[in-house]
Amino acid sequence: MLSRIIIDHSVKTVLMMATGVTIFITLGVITSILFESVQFFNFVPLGEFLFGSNWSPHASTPGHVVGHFGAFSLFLGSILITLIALSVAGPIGIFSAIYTSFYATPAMRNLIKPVLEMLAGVPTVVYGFFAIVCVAPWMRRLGLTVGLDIATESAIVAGLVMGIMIIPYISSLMDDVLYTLPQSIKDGSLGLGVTYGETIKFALIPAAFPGIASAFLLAVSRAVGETMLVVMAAGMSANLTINPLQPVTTVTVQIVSMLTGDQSFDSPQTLAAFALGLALFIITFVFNYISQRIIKRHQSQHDGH
Amino acid sequence: MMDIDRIPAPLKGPQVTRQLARRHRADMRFRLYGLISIGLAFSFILLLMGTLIIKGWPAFIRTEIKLPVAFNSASTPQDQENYDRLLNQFIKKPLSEGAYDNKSLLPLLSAQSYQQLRILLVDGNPLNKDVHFKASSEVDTWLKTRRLNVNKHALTSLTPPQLDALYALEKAGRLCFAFNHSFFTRGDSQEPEIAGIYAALIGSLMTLSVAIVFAFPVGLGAALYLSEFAPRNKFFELLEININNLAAIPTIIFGLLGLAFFLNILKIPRSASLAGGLTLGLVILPIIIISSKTALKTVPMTIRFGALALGASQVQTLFHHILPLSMPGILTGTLLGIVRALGESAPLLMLGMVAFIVDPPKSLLEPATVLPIQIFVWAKNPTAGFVENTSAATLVLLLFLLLLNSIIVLLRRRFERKW
Repeated sequence: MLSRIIIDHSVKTVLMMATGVTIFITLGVITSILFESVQFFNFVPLGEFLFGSNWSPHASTPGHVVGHFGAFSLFLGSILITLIALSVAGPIGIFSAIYTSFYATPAMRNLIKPVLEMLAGVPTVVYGFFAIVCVAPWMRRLGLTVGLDIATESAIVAGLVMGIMIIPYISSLMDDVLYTLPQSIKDGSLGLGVTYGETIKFALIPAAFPGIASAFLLAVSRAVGETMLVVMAAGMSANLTINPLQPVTTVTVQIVSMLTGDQSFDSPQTLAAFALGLALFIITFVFNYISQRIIKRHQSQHDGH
Repeated sequence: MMDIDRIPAPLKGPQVTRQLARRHRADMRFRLYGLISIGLAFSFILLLMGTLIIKGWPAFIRTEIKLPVAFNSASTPQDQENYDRLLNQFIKKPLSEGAYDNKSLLPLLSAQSYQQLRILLVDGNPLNKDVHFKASSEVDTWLKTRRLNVNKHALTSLTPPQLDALYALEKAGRLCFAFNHSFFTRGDSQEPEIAGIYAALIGSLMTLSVAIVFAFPVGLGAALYLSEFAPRNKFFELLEININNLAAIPTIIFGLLGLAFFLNILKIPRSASLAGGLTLGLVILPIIIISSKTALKTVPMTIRFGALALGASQVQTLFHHILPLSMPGILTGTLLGIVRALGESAPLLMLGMVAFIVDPPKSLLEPATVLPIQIFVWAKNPTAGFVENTSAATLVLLLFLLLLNSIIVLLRRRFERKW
């Protein structure tokens, strides 16, 4: 009996330690980023970092800051690419989800959903290569035929390909939400003689709106944090522009570009990368958190049906 | 009782019919939008796969030049110069006398050819037979353009005398295609025709092993504790939210953590697969925890109560009943994590895993690269021939992912259980 108690206790302790590791990781993420960022903000004021438009960090060496660290154009670039991606993935994702959850037969649904989800399973480096090899030359040729000069590395190419990539994030989550709506809403509306399309538009989408919103938030958080694709397709130069035909750079691209060299750990570039990482962490954390809250509230609302 | 008079008379007449027809048309349109969207998404997939296959498959074959090797000298040559002279002799033999200049013929062969010849002649025995030598990447591209109709716009850097020699060689039947097995047995190289993915594959294997060895026990342990033993209180509620968030933050942030903790504090060397593996372990840990918890939750409470009522301890209940029953789900979750880690590259970029790796790493501390990073490095290389290599490497990566995903589907089908 005693040995049983000992075993029980030691097993529980081991499992608790494993849980402790996850807590440790979270704290590690937050402290490591915060620690370096605080050092960074010692020599670059927060206001200049957030709203300054001059980004040229590479001139600095350890302990000697001569570069400029105004990250506004990076944020703008991230927002621009995300907006382009959403305007591609939004309509396609929404209409696909509506089709799979209402019109498609169960057999079709079982075929369509996994194929759409394949888009999310493709590694992002593959999308980056696809953008370089296929989409960028096509866009350039298309631009020339209508008299537009589209750079080979441009926001529109990165945004388009990213849009393809995040289609399943919207369609899949939205389909889940629409599919699990109580049957009574649908039956009630159809029973009143309303057509299928009108039922969807006026009864089901409004009921599922929180779910749709959270799907979009997740897609945004995914798009903002996406790295490889933009590193390969969007460009490195910090242009303050909202012209989608021009190369832009993003927060993630700059984090990578400042850390892939062989600079020392306390150089201003490295610290700036951590400050950008902090900004990225906060942005995606907020989006994810709101998205999860919405889903949770939505679930409890429709419980019991 | 309903008041009959207050129900409006049913609407009839042409106006209503028209309105109804319009509403049905709108309905059809709505349905059509859905179909178009799905069609668009499907065509993106086809376009992606089609591009990769069309661009990638030539990399799996290579051009070889069949040369008559005739060697009967007593002493084997020692340096590259002598081997090159021999090769030059061999390549001239099938050509009728022409104005082939000595310097122009050797570049038709791959730069590695003299090594192949050295291995052939190493024991000093006389040799008289046809040997296949790998052609240079220019010749490779040229022949693929001619025979396979790929790369129609590629500009060739071959000179007119070289082209004449190639035509003569082709007429003599000495140019042929063979399976490019060295793509799978060699590391990276500056020359596209001898660059391979072997080093990257080994690097991926090592990195993934580290990630799994780290993340699986920790993830499973945390999932078991959280779902079976953790008290229901604010702290653990917060922890669950936190784990969900960890699963959703950009992987590049884990790269920052890896840089700060594994490289800067633990002093693991840059580019080492150990650091990369641990960082990928951090990325997949929340995935393993969440899916394991879901799997544990599907085991009904009655099983727990039954075991406990028969006198089993909590730990016995867990290891004898709950864990075996939820194992398929846990394995599925782990495989999902592996799929994720195999395609992941962003956090590894920051750990310096972009090095030029020719030889596969022999230990966890040696510089390594992984398949996605190899793809990234090749995709940026402007040399002609690397587009094929990149596409081919991508196809290999996607094949692995497909394989893992099929195992997941099979596991789900085989072990799905309704309680």
